[in-house]
Amino acid sequence: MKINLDIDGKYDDTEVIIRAPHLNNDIERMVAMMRMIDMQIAVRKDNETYLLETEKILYIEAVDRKTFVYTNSENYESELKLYEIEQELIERDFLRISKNSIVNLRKIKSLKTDVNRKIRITLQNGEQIVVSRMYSDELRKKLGLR
Amino acid sequence: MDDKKTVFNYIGQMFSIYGVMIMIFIVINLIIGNEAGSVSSLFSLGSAGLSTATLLELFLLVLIVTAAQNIFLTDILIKNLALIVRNILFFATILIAITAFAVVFGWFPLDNVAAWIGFIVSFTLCAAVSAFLMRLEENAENKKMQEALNKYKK
Repeated sequence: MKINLDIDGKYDDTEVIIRAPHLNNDIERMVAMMRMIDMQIAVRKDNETYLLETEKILYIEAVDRKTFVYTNSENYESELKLYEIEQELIERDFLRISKNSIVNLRKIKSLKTDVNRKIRITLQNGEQIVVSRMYSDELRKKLGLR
Repeated sequence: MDDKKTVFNYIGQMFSIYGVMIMIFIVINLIIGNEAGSVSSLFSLGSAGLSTATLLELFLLVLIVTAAQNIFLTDILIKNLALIVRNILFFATILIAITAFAVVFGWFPLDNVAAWIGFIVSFTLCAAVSAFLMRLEENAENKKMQEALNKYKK
């Protein structure tokens, strides 16, 4: 894969052009990662690709090597791995809460202590997810409690 | 990610509880062993020490306590249950176990109503106070987290 950078003051905006003989998974993932810089994430549902605003995401979960993105009423699949999404979104109100999920802190309705020092999260759509013990302290720290 | 518990973790947990329980019994035995020896099989040797039978009975009780702790106070088997209900179930199991042991192993004389009432009242009181304090702590922690979340979202 050749990478050409053409940095010049004559350009008004940043433009990325990908030239390839055909669309493959690597290109889709590259595009998806670039989309996240614009606070969007490329997701798929019923063989259609959508650009989802990250602020609409409630949480993202990895199940059986697949990545699922949940909003208030829909769920989508992403080409990206959970850690790739995490790297981009960690500075933007998202936090890892277990080995296989990250949550949008702005979409949390309430928090409750649970057994084994875990935390039970109720999201804005009423769905509940659990912060594992290992990540509970990280959540407390992020909220300024430690 | 949570560490997966192995059988050695459970054994360690069990022996920690057993160790504490034996220490408590040694202290009680040193203080009232001679007097209690005539009414309870737990102190059959008087202040001289705890018998093998007592040690084994207490071990069996610890086995039940550890099992109840892992069943009701963790989410290994029961995923979604209020903490207060978990505590009630835990203490109820312990109360039933101790009562059964007391009857089967003669820990108290069956006809000593005062001893039974004393035991049940003191156990229930300890359990209730413990559950109440846990509840207070849980509510304070929840309130603190909710306030921090609201502040974060502003």
